[in-house]
Amino acid sequence: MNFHFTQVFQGFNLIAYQWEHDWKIVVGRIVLVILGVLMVHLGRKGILEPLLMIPMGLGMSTINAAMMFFDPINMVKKTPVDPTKVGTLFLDSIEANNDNLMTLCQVDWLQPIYTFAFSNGLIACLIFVGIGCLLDIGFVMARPFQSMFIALFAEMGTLLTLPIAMLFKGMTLGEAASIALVGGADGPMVLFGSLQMAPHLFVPITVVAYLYLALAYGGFPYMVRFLVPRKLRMIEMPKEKKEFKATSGEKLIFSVIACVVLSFLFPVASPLFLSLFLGIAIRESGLEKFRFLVGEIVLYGSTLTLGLLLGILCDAKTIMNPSVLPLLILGIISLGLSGIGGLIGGYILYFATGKKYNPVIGIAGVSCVPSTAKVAQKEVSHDNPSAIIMQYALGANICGVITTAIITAAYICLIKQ
Amino acid sequence: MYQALQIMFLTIAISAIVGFLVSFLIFLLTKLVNIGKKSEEQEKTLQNEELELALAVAVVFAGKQPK
Repeated sequence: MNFHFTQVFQGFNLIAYQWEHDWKIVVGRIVLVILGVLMVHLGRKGILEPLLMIPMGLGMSTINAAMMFFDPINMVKKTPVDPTKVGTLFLDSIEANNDNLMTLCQVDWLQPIYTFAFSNGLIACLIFVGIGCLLDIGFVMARPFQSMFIALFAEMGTLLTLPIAMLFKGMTLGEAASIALVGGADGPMVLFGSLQMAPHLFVPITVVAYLYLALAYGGFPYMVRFLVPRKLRMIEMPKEKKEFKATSGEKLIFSVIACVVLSFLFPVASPLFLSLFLGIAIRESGLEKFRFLVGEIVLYGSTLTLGLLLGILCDAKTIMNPSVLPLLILGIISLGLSGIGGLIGGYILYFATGKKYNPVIGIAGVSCVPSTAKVAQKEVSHDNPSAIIMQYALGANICGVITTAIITAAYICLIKQ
Repeated sequence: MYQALQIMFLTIAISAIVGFLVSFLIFLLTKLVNIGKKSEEQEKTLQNEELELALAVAVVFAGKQPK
């Protein structure tokens, strides 16, 4: 029996083939393996969001290492196999033919989850139910206009990136709007929006969105320090004359009314509204067993699955697609502008309230719940440990989720016309 | 580009109007239905409710603690 080294260790065989035919893919694979390891490391250190970065980084490294010559569809159908077709045993995100998809579901272990939970937005909705379960709508009810004002300013990137993206050659309105949604800093919303408006690009757009959301966790503190002087970061919010306290029943009533009104206004985003307000309703209705199920198991289970799938989707071929570069540029522009917009909103309230409002709260309007609220409180506490702004930041944060859902719905309606 | 600008301005208007509408809805609920304003007795009930909730959560989470 002959021993062929490259037949046993197939990875070497593929590397040699790819090096000969397209060396850039080999370089890309090596860079992505290293990037994946770096993401795990930065997640472990807490510099990037660990819940997402650890499964995503590991998935990214593994998928770029685990490529092989593989033609599952012809193999299962017992038709002549293409010996140069490259694949993995994880999933195929490009296949759209229903028959082939069913075949892939029998071969690739993550294909069923990708097809039945990821590419139809289910996982985005499940995460939204979990997020809803973490939100105390009472913070919005206590100061609705103020929170909404900040949240609207923090959508500056989502709004301005749309015309900016049109300056890039070949970008369609749907693609521009999908990448602009990164400014809303809501991963599930970007996933949902891009599925509706640019389904051919939803994989790279979602990957770019989550990469930047993880970076926002580490980058926004620097933006706050750069744009808000220490003296203003130290401002303590004035004590309110009458403390607002809504019962859980009252919060439940508000959630039901808001869900019905928003779903009536924007049926295209009603799955997102229902998911978010379902989470809030579970929290406020006192169903502790449901709350535990949704807030712990559904949320963290979906986050783990999402992180892993996003990592698996980062194969060199997808990431090195020429259309990804403009997405990378526009994603950071959108998120950066939203952060700046939120702080501008904070400054406006600072001047409007006679210099009593802490402008750092503005960053929490970028609705990365609850990361940006935590960033705001952390930055303020760093300079003035007695200043508590969390309740204001969470109000703006929750309103940010609502405004991003409204903008997503508006884009879908206006662009699909 | 013209269409993108048009969509952007329309979206700004829509989100401002709907955002204001949601805020106004909350305002109406708080002012007209008197949500959030409690008498002393209601305040006490609310505190008890919060305490019960905190206890219930503590019971659920206690199950997860290593013994």
